[in-house]
Amino acid sequence: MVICTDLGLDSEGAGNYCFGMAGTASPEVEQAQQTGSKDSVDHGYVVICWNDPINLMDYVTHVFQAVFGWPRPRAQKHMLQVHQEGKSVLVREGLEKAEFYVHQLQKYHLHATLERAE
Amino acid sequence: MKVYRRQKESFIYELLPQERQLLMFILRSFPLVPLSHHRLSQGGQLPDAEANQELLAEALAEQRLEQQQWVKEWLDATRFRPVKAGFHVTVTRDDFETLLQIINDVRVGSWLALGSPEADMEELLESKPESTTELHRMQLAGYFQMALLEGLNEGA
Repeated sequence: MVICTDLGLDSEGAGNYCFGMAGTASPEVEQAQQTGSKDSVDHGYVVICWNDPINLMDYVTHVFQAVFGWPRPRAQKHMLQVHQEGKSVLVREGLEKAEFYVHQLQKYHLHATLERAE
Repeated sequence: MKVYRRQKESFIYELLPQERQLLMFILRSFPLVPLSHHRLSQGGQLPDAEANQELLAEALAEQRLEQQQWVKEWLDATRFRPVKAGFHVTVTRDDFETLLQIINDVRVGSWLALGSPEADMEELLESKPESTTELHRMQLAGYFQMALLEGLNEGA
C-alpha cells in the first residue's frame, strides 16, 4: 500500500511524499494512482512540464534542480522525459503547493501547468 | 564569456569587450514575454480558475517589476571590472538565478516575437529576413545562458 502525505517544501524534493516507494528516485505519480480507491483518496493536483522548442535542455535541468532541490540525475531524467515524450509529471500535491511550484517554474519561463490528478 | 573563478558564494566571469556590450544589450531588452503568456492550467478543471489565473498574473507582474529594478542596478558600469582580456563580473549565487530568469525572458520573448517557430531557424531567416534582430537576440540569450550555467560545472 502506498500512503501519500504532505511533507512541505523540503530540500529533498517534493516527490518524496509517497511512503512505500523506498528506493525509487521519482514520484512516479502514475504508480501511486493505481493504488487506493477513487472514492477514498484525494488525488490532488499534478504539476506538468510540457515540451517546447525554445528552453535549452541544460537550462531545464537546472530549473528542476533549483525549484525542487532534486539531484542532477533526477532532474535530467524528467528533462529527458519532457524532451522525448512531450511532457513530464513532476510532482503531485495539494492545490496550494502545486500552484506554488507552477509559479516557480513559470518564473523561469518553463511551460508548466497544474492539472487535477485523476 | 567564460568562468574565471568559482567562489563559495559567487562566480567570476570573464567577458571580452564585445561580450559585455552584447550582455548589456540582452539585459536592456528585458522584459519581452507578455504577462498573459503563462496559463495556470490547460484542462480548465481548477477550482476558482479565473481567480487563480489572476493571482498568477499578479505574481508574475510583481516579479517583473522587481527584476526591472534589479536590471537597472545590475547594469551599473562599475560592476564590470576592466582586466587585460576585457572585463570581470562577479555574479553571486542569488544573482545567478535572477540573471538566468531575465536572460531566458529575453530568449523566450524573442522566440514568441518570431511566432514561436518549431522549424529550422535558418529557414526562418531566409523566409523572414526582417526577423534577424529577434533571431540573433534569441541565440545570444542562449549563449549567455549556457555560459552562466558553466559556472555550475565544477569539471569545466
